[in-house]
Amino acid sequence: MNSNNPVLEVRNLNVEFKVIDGIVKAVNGLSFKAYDQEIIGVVGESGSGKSQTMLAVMGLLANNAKVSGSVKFMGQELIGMSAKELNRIRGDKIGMIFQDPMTSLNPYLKISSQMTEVLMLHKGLSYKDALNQSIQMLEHVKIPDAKNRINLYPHEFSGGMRQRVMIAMTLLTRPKMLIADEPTTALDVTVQAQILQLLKELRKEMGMTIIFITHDMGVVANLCDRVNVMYGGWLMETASIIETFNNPMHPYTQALLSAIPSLDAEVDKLHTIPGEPPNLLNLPSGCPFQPRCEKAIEKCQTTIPLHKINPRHVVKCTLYGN
Amino acid sequence: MNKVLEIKNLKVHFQLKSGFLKPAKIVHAVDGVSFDVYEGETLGIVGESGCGKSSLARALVGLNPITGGSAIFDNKIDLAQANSNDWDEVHKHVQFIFQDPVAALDPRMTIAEIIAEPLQTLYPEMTKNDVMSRVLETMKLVGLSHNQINRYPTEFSGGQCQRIGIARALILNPKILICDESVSALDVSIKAQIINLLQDLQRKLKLTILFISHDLSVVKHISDRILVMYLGNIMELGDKGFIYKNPLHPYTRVLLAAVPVANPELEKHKETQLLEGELPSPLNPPKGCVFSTRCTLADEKCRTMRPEKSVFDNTIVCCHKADYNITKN
Repeated sequence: MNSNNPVLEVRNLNVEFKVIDGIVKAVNGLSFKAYDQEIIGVVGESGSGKSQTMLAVMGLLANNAKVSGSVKFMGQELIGMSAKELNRIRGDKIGMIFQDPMTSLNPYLKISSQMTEVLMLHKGLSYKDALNQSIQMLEHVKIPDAKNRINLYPHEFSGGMRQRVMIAMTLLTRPKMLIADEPTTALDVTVQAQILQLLKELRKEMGMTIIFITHDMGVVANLCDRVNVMYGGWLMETASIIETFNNPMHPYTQALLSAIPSLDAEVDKLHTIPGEPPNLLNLPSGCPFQPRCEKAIEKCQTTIPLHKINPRHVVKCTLYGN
Repeated sequence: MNKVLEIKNLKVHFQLKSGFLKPAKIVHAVDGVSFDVYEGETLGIVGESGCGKSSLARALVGLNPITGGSAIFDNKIDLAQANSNDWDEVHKHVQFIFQDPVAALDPRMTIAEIIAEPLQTLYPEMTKNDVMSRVLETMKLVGLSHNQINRYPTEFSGGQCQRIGIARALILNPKILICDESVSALDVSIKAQIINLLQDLQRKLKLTILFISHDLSVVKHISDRILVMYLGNIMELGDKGFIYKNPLHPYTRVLLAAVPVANPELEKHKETQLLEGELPSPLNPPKGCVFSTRCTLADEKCRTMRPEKSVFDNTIVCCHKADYNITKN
């Protein structure tokens, strides 16, 4: 599945926000690669930096953000690119879908005008051609009776259908990469199952790389090829999905997996992680997880070494290597 | 076992505004449900959005009107007929924990004021000292420290706010705790803490819990019995071990199969039966079985006749096609 050149290569990415109380370190020294047609899951709790990473990739960070490092998309450096150049890439070659489809769609406009706008703007199509392609795409994401329903307003669709409309709209320009920020979190499980199935089919048909942000380990197990586990703005572990679930190395990944109740196993008491996620204004020195970690030693307060278990399984923890 | 709630044919209907040439429409949010809740058990209520689980829960504490049937609390008070004195009595014993822990707390009140409020409202004769000692006692019970007593909700994280919400409910020493998606908004590590807390409290205080959630894994972990709802109706009700292993109702089967399990090998080989179509409008529910429009097994009988309750091995199921020939394993 992997060709040699990554579609996305993030290297030593840092994102900081200047606020009244100091500097919020949202993303710290993040590096990862995403290859052709790969689905990467990004998991972590609130404040782990998973959304900020993707906003940085898209150049959509708030004004008070300071970004350093490198983000290369198909060999092209995105950091420092002008908004005009970025606009040619995002929405065209990189698509993004969000958690709440209702807030991403304009409630005053019919689906038809919102969808045709994308094609007329990015591809220079006529309205008629754009409309035809839009209808085709709606059929592609399995919206029944697309020909008539394209003339409806967003509120006339159910949540699941609205998310399909969003996906169809993003796919109109046939992007090389899709960034999905918790797209199924607000949906019911039966609808979620439909959307996950759809994404898996689309990945193959359209040859897309998908970066899927979620906090649900079940969804990751269902959909992804590889997982990035984030905590306190740091990438703690990245591994193939099988290795992540069968052989998690980082104590945080281990704790995260044992804290979720499961449908197929019975436990009397859930494993808990003591304490609370770190304050990004005041991250602990060394490893951010160290104050809550059961296996922490003194060295954890000063260093956060990177250790390669194998070329595709990397973990940041003092327990391994040196 | 003692029944603490006996619910018979309970209905929660909302009337939409009527207008000129526009006849009044009725939303059938909860459309005739009957079940009992036993003392000390945790009853999980599951279903998708729009199935009426929250409308039902809110009706049980008087936040929604009960428009038909009866709900008898503790063999004494019928909630459908209750006057305001009755409700005061009910609220001493039935308390509610909401989904969004931060929105549920008044940002202008201190933690002490928030936790003390139910006690001061329902027991106005209590002295200040007694109230304060109850507040401290309850805070300790839910794992909040004494020196946080004069702080405001904004100074707390989501998980801490949910502890405050739980303390506020528990200070009355209630018999029944209704948790409406109470852990859904919390992060994984915090969620586990709150679930464990609820279970500890239940054992310690012999609470009865109605646990409403769309998260079937959490419900399975915490509940003794499970109630599956769809479009305002009960589909299936029974012991959790039985329902999760041998779901009788086609809807329960689809619902359980849709939950992704945190095990990539299982997920790879799972054959998911995707649910076709969409939830019918509660304004105009189907005539027969409410699930018949999306059920793969539905036939003429299902579309025209509402199925009666049938009982199979402690499990209640409402379906013409329920598969009773399953092998128990």
